[in-house]
Amino acid sequence: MTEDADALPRSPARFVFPELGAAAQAAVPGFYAWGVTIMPAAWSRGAPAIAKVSAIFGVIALVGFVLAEPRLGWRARIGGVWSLLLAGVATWAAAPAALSAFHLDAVHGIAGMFGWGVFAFASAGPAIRRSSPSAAPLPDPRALPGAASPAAARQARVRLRRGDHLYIAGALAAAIALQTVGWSITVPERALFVRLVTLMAGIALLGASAELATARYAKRRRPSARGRLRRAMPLLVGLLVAALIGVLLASTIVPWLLPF
Amino acid sequence: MALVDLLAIVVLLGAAVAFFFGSTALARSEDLSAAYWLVVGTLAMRSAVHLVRTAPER
Repeated sequence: MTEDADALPRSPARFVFPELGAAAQAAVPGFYAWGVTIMPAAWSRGAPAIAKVSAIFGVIALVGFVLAEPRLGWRARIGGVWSLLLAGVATWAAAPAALSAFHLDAVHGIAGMFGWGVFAFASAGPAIRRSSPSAAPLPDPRALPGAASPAAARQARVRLRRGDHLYIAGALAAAIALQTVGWSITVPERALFVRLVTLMAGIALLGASAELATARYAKRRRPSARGRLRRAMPLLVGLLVAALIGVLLASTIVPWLLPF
Repeated sequence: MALVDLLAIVVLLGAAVAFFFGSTALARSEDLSAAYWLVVGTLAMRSAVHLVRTAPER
């Protein structure tokens, strides 16, 4: 692995930030989302100083967690996501009128939706480090000892398993679909609440689908199908009960469950 | 791919649909319906993750 890292071309950025990882990858769309949705709200007409302070805090936190990633590891990624999200919420809460349909045009809305979607996706993805022994995310047989050549092994290590792009595309489509909801709400507080819920749901879905995809690469022996089913049984039963309650209520008491 | 993995994918798809319904209901100010769908979505998402997880939660 060290051989692989050494084989990479040396660049000035690599000397300054030798261990840039997932938090740094996520920071790029994070800055974009900040610039499109948080900054305009903080510096909109009539926005209080607290909106500007929380917006600036969001950027500082994002940069801080990128720089702290070599020490904090995966915690930096989590910290970066939640800092930016909370900074956004604080800014929007301080200047709620900036999010209403009167102030937010369609282009801004779509750009913001795209930015947050990509930020959520980049944050949910597993980190691949260049100089760490854990850089081998995929146990491709061609990367094992006995592979034809170091170059072939390197190429094999970065090859994704079949079907990974379906997980990624599906989760991204769901996160983007969630971001299409609620752009015509005129009540600022409701618009803010819907944005917060859709963002959190999108990030959670991307994280869950990343977990489903990466579970296939686990080096440890996975429990049997029966064992996994048994472990998830309480939640599945809860889900079944919730579904039954929903069907019962929708068919007998109130037809309010379907939002269409 | 084991049947459990397939079930996890289906349940996660269900979670995405439930979240979409919940957000739509929230946007229409139907708070009770929104709460129901968001709870169903969260339950479904956690179930999907538990179905594939290799080790018990820390």
